[in-house]
Amino acid sequence: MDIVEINELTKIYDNRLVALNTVSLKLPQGAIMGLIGPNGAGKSTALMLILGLQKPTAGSVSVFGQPMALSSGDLRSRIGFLPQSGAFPPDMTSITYLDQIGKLFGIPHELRKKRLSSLLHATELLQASSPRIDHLSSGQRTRLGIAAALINDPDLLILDEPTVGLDPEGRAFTISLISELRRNGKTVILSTHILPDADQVCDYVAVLNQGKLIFSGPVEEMKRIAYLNTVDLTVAGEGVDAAIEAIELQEPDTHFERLGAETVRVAFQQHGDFSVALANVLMEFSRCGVTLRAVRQVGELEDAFLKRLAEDRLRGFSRAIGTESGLGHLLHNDTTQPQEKSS
Amino acid sequence: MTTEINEAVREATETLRPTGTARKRSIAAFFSLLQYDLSTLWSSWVVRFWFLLTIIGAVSAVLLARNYSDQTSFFISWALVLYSGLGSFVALIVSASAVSAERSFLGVAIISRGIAPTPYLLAKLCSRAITILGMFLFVMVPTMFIVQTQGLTNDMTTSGMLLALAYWSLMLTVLVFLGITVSVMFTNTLLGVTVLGVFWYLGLMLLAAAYAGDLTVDGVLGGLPLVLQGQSRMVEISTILIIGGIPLLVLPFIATRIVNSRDM
Repeated sequence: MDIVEINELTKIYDNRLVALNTVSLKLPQGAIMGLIGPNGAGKSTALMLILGLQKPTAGSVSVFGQPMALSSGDLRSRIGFLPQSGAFPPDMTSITYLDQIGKLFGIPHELRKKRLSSLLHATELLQASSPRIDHLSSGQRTRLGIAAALINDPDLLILDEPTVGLDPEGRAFTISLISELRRNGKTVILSTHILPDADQVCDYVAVLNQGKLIFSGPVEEMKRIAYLNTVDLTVAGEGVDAAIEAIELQEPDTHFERLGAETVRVAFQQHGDFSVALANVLMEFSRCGVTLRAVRQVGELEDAFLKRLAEDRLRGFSRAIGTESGLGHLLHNDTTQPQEKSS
Repeated sequence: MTTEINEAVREATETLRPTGTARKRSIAAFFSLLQYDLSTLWSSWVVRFWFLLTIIGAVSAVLLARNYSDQTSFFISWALVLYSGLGSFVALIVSASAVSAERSFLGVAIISRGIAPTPYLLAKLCSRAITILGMFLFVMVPTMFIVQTQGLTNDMTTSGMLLALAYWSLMLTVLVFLGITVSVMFTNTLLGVTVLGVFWYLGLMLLAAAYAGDLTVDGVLGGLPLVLQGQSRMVEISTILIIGGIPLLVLPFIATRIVNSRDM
């Protein structure tokens, strides 16, 4: 069953800003989906629409199989939400805050107290339960926000930038919490621009750029598609540059990129099997006295994300030229001119 | 450490789910919001200052009434007019800021917690009305009854006093409801307070001018002393109650429609 189903969702603010542009995606039960994109990509808008806090200009959002709207308080009672800016009442303590949130969810007194103490323990806030919230560190506030998001034992958890502003230990702690939630069967939407975090915990990823969904699917698929036929070679020896020059002469379709003193990224143009081309590269390296230490499939989410963004920028331009103004031939005949215009 | 976290998270998330229907949860949320808003209001300096001021005013009025030779109905009429002038200002500040002051975090901090806008708005209406009416009645009821018994020349009847209290309560409630509707309509609190202030005081002045017998100290009170004396006619009473009651029915509906139609 899909916990969240977004169908051609569009949000335009005041006829001025297109925040989301016909976005469609589905989130299956028990999955963790990373909503990633640069600042202003429309991530927070998407979350607001999923929560029913904003009305779509077009399209629809279904959560737990039912249409989500501002009046759908009962659907929201099954969702835990960690907003980007905590919006905590400064004069409350962690206990009074969690208790208040529990009351809003209509959780009975006894259950509320029990869950509250468990969550304070889970988020390591027991020591920080008596000071006022404005005296807590940013890490403690984030953990308090996560505790508040969990107080209703939600089926769907929406976390907006949960690791922003945290030190490495705080980040690791938060990621560990999210991983544990996955093991408990929770469905999570994690909006973030810290891609290693998404890489660590997410099963699925949805990439937004300027309000447009440019990819949605499993993380591994995104990495695979973005870096199809690309490998990183860890090498040692003096003859690396000579080997590269020699291969580029023999195989003009094979591209090399030096990522560091010992790392070379090799992109093959062949679709499908590139074993012969790879074997040629390895043989040439060997002939030039280069020692091969490792062959690794390219696979950092951040790399794939940046490649996707670059592709989308080019594709977006060609779409505009090709489909809307009917000037697609310009792009094919003279690619430099439109790019110069666009820059 | 991770194992401990895992166990605690599991324990926290495996406890029983909140029970009850959506309706029950909605009612629980309403009372929770009501309780929270009341406690917020009673810790605000505007409410505390005004409450203290009215208590001092009431004690002064009681002391003054013992040496006041004219009829008590005129004395209390002035007290009520004074309260409607100054108290209205407090009521419109308290009500017209109710929603707009929370707009920046309303969606993410309140409505996202399983709340629909309607119980939120109803809680606001109730808490603000309870606060304003509570302060008014707490001060005016004992004052009027003490003045009735201690005044040198009493001409007020109990029914007349209760009717006057009902009129003023109705007026203040209408103002609170109007203020909250304005607070939903205007995102800028200051603008909302200003617009409502101009509208309200202009209305009060026109009303006073329409009912004033003449522009003397007693004349501007219009028929208020007669109300306190128990000389109101049923037609007048029912007309005022109906005119005052209509906004109480219509305004929450309008405010709910507006709040439900807007993005949080």
